[in-house]
Amino acid sequence: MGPHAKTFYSWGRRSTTGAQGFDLAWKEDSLPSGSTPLLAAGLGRSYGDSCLLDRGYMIETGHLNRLIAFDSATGLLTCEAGCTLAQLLEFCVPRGWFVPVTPGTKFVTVGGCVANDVHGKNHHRAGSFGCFVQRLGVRRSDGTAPVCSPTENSGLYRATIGGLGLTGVILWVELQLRAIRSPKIRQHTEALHGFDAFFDVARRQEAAFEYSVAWLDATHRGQPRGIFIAGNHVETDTPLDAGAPPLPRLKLPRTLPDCTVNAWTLRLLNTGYYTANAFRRAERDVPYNGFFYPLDAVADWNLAYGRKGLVQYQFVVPMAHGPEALRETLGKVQAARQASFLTVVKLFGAAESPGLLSFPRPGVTVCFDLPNQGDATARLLDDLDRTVFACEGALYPAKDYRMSRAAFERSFPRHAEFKPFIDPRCASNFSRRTGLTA
Amino acid sequence: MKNFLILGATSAIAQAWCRSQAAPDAHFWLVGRNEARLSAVAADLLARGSGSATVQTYITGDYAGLDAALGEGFRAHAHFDVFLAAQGVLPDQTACEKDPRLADEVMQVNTIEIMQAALIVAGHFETRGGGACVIIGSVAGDVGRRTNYVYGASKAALDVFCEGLRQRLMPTVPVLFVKPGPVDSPMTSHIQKTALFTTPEKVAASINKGIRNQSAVIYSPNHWRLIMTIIRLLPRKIVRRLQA
Repeated sequence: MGPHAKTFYSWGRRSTTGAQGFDLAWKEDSLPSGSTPLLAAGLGRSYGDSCLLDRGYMIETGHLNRLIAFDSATGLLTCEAGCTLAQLLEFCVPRGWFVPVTPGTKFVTVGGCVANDVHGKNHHRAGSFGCFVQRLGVRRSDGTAPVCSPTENSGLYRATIGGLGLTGVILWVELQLRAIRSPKIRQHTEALHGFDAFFDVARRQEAAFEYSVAWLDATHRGQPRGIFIAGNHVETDTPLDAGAPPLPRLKLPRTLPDCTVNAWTLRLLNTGYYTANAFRRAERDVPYNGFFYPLDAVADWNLAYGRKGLVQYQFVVPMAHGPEALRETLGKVQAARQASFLTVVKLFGAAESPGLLSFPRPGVTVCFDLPNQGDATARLLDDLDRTVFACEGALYPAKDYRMSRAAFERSFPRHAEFKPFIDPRCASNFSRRTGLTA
Repeated sequence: MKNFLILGATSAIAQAWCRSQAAPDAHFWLVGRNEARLSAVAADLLARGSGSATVQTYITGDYAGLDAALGEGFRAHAHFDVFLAAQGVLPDQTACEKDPRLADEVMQVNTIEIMQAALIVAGHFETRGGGACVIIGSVAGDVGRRTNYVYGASKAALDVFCEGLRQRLMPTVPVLFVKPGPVDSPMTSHIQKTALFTTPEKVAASINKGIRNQSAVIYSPNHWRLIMTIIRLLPRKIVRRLQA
């Protein structure tokens, strides 16, 4: 069926105006004709506006979710770009394989993972998602569908990984999976006190754990406290179908009142989470779902933040500036009394992604989430930008709805190299703002 | 060893159901109209570890082609455990009102070819004394609605057809008629999704349950049975005034 008017939302509850949905269910199908701009759409889990396009076609890929080939000996999987990580895990975990890199939700499409070159708790060892993409196919608006790999159309390959969907519609991806012997993760938790702990513990434990991240209680006054959460795949053979229940258990039926997330509820939530984890047994085996995707247990949790939605702010700075950047930004967030629940600190490793616009780079990444309070939030974020750029840092497009062209170009020095690969019809609200497209 | 004969294998419900059956001992005979799409479905089933997946195409309105595509299957596999008829089109009701000839294709795809295929398959199942027929209808076939009565009529015919076929094939071959509510699939991609929409995977799960229980008619999700019963009990005078 043809295009149809529809409003699309990002995870931070930003929306499109004048967009039309176009269902791309088969990889041989052509894109809508004409010259109207277009953008591939997955599950809309990007927070800002990099996954939205006003007055254009949103090419929906949810039905483009077939497997194309799988080699059970090598773990090389080819699938269509609309496959979600949830669908892949359901398929590959019982067969002894795991996705090589996963963000904090499994309700993202493989195409989205490539377009944002997502990272996960294993970045310090594995690198980003793009490091495991062997080949991919892109539908360009001229009707061609080039196959891209490090050796074939390598420029387009490097531009598409982390390319924010601007190089065409990703049709399929060939991905190297990681072998596992158990669906469980041996989780290690450790309470953190003081700024230095966030860096010392992470560095000390990095070699011992494949996955690690530090959660920070941003509502706590004085010396910061948090939880270091790390884990490894359990290396003894256990039944592989044990990690099941994939569907969300709870669901927010609708947007909650704007006051639901406030200073008091956040304090309660943070303190509760801290105490629950700080005093619990440090080592235990947990199902992979609980370890990687705790928030997936509540479908549509973003609706708890009310009509204005939430804002995530994520940046990376070189290691040398890490402690200073964390201290300053946390101070500013706390002074503005806007801290929320998901504040995480993670050390990125040195593994280099093939992507030209890849966000992860050696250093420290910090992510704050904030309820959107309009102007007050905007002022705070401008203030945070000053710290980040003074520390030679970069902002993460997948979480952004406001970075300027200058901020984008400072964050991604290879933008000029990327531009020639942009498909003339592709655009997003993000690319329009940052001058990547008209 | 399990052999499955699928008519309209590129339909979202057929794909979801086939995936639920993918296993080393599962063999799929996929019949449909679009070879490239059928091949994508076959590749998916093979990647999931199915024993085999064969693609057969025919052209709408070509009875000989349909007969051959099915006959080839029976020659290759000798027997099928399940025959699933899932092909269907959802026409634009307003377009049909302007150009009534559009009703041709709707009836041909949704009704005539499914009946013809089922009759061909029934002959084989009868001789062999085994197998199961699963035919996809729709809640739209229960009550005529302003917005999709051409589609509804094409599905309603299958309901009566299945009733008769069930009597003919009982007790050895169960005939399951599935009435899904609106499903989030490419067929409905132009319709804004509401809470009433279900997924092809859920319909596939209902079908498996229906086969296990040897049900005659199932709704998917199940609450549509109650909804449709209530609507049918409403006085016609009121139903006539409904515009949705």
